[in-house]
Amino acid sequence: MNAFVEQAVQALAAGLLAGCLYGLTCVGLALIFGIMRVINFAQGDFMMVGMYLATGLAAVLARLALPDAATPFVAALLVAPVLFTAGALLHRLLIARTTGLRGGTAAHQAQLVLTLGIALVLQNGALIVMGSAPVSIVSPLSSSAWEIPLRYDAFSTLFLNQGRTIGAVLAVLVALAVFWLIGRTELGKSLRAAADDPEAATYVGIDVARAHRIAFAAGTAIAGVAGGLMVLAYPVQPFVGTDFVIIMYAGVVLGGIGSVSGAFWGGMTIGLVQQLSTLVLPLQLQNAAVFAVFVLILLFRPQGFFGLNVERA
Amino acid sequence: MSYTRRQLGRLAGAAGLAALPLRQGRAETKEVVFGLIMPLTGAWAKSGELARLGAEMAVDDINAAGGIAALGGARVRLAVGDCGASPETSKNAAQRLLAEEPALVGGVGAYVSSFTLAVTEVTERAGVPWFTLSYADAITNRGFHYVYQTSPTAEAQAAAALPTILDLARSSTGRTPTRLGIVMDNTASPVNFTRGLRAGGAAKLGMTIVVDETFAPPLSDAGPVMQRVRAARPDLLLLLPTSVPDIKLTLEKMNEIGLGKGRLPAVNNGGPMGSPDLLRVVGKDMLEGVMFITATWGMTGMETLIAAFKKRTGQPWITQDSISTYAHIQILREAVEKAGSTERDRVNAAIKAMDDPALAQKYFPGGSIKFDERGRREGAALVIAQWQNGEPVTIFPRDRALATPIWPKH
Amino acid sequence: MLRLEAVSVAYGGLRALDGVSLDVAAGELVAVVGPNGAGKSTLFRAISGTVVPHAGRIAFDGADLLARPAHARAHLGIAHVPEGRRVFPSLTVQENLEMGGATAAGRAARAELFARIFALFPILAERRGQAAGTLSGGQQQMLAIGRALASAPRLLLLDEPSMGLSPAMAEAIFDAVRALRAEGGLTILLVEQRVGDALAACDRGYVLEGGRVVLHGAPAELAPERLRHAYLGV
Repeated sequence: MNAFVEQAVQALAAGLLAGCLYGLTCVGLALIFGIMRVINFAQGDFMMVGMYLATGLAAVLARLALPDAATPFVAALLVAPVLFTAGALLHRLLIARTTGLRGGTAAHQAQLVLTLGIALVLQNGALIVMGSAPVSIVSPLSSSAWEIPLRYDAFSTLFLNQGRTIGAVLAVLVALAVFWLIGRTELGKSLRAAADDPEAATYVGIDVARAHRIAFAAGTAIAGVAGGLMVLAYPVQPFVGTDFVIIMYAGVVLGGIGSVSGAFWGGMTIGLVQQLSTLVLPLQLQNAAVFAVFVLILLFRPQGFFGLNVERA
Repeated sequence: MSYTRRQLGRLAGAAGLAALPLRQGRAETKEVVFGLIMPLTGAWAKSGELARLGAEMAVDDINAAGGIAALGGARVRLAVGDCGASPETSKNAAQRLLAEEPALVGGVGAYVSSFTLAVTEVTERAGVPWFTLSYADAITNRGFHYVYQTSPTAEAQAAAALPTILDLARSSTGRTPTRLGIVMDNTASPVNFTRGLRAGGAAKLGMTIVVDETFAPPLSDAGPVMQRVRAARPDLLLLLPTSVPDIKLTLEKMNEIGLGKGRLPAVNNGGPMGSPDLLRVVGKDMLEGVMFITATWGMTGMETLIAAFKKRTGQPWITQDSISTYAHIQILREAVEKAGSTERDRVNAAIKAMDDPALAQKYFPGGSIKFDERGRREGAALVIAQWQNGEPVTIFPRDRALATPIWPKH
Repeated sequence: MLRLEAVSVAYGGLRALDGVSLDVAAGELVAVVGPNGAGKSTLFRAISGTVVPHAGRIAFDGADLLARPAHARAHLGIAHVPEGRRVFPSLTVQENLEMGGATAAGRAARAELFARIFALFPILAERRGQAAGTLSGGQQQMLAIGRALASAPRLLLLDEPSMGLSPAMAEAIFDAVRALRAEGGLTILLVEQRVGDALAACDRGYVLEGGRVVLHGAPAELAPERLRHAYLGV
């Protein structure tokens, strides 16, 4: 019984920590999906690029007089400006040609093919440049834990992995910053207005193409930061994005399409289900459990947790 | 127009016969072509590259020593094919190699068992003697006559592994572990490896399986699974994840909860566990004390080979990939010398007639260079290597070991 | 203030506007009427920039409007209340008004403008924090007009403001339009299906049919029998 309590507490903690990171990756996708209505197949690969960048930056930072423990996290945050710029350029040069006011099925098909193409280019480009062998940031943090004794006996202990815990806290802070940006600032409101109705947004003087560019760049940057925080625990190889992109989409759909904060809770739900399911189900069914719960939730709440249930005017 | 497989075989045979007079027409053979098909792109590219380094070194060594004496000092040339990342591309690579190199005498490849199965479908039909380090039993279960496996097969490894590990434990501490833990993913290799253990194999050796966890890769967090290991307190852990991310997560978690650095002896069943790349991803401290089972590794008696390989390639140590292909090329050379010919059937006959324990000692733990009627090497045994101070070193068999094992003396 | 010269718009070969010329002087209320598909909404879109004419000129205060991107035109003082209201459903009433008021002129006089909007439509003040998508159709129309007014426009384009509303609500909206006109200072171009009301309220009117101006002049010149001729061709 005590062993079960210990396992339950541990699974809950692991679920929360994983959930924070999943949540952040979902937020990045939700920005792009929610504001531009672009189904971005390359989102997982932006994350992969962020993972490589963070690994490289960490190696550079390690030579500076930075405290060792801070290196991986500073590296992860530094990924943001780099990928923001890259995302903005990518939007201006390619994505913008398939979006804008001319919507419709043809535009969506063009976007699907385009982002799929970007994904393939990024994956195979990484294979050529970085090779197929996985790399990772090696830090003592990823194998050290804060040990919190559970009071009911002498043996049971909750292990909070230091690397993951710091990563999760940073992920929450980044997500909160994004929520504030979207919810409270004039820029964020104009992004949402452009998402709601691009034509009407134009009539009030919003440059919709610019709004989309900012959303795409921010979504790319967030994917990169999430990847940077992830690479401490999860080695990167050119095809690592495919491990995460399904989780991202599931999280965004769970949270409610178009809801950026909902996407975070969608990701969190996936993290929790993934870990808590191990208490009652065989480990092999971990990921199956995620999708069983996914289907169940959508059965009862097809619009997701926070999906707007109003008709578009 | 379409051919049945048998008709194709006859056609290929006819083509071989037609080529025969040409070859005999030459006064002397100037060049002996050996083939190498390995995954040089895709997920297994690193292992394929290491295998290729071994083969290239063998070819250079042979030529530096005067080539093939029986053929008037003919030079050996290595023809390389990339089998990519799937059985289909492997088969294509084999067909291309045969088409481009009509004088191919023999070959080696293709690392991944499913690739080897595909490649040997093609080479067998053309009658090319083929060597592989792949483990799958199916490779030599098809009644083929030109395929040779130098490693113990997967089933043989599964049967021999636990007794070998227990031998090692006994010889290190004088005590035999009794509580076995298993943590594995659900891919073919660990599933086949552990099947026999659950079906009474462990009990027969006096072991109780106290924790047995199988996960579907990739793991997002090794916490729950390793927590169960901690609670069950095994004294030997078969730690059998096959992908690098999962290896990293499980090892870090072991260290985190105080079972790392050899405190809980952990054994993996695969050569990838000794890859130099793993060091960069997982780190020296995490790997310390971790053991793995492999078909061959750097051992006593190989010192010159190891030193020359490291100097030549800049690799930090030699792995089974390089040792095996080096050995395969040397065996092929030996067979061509014995046959005094580059004719495939005569070379194949020479391989079948070989019985050379001394040659085996140079590259493998025990046995002989002698193949049974299925093409399996007789006396093929296992090596256990252990990460010590950032390098995997052989600790078993003890008479060939380069280091003494780290094993906790509870 | 606004002058269109021989403006033509085609959607994929289908001609929506065919050489339309139109003038609006400062302070006027000009009505555009015509049957469905006559090109009224296309006319408005051409002015605010979401469709691009392939021929003709549009000048606003003497400046060439076609040289400006669509999103820049709001900042020149043109506010477009599109057909079907098109409020931002996930934004609150307050945020919708803020979006409208993001022009320089709108920012400079935000407090006054909001006070004026809330005086005109008190319900919007009550519903400030509510998501616009949850408002009734009439309230959304009020918000759409309020959003346009928040930009401190000089030219207001009103496209079918009473469409799809109950008669009482349509009347309320129309009262608001009349009130805006009475306040003065605002130039209004109005497309309206309630032809009688529109013509009664306007200074001048244009009748559009098949993408062409078939009739224009003071309300008196647009007598019912001539309109009937324009609409029905009899």
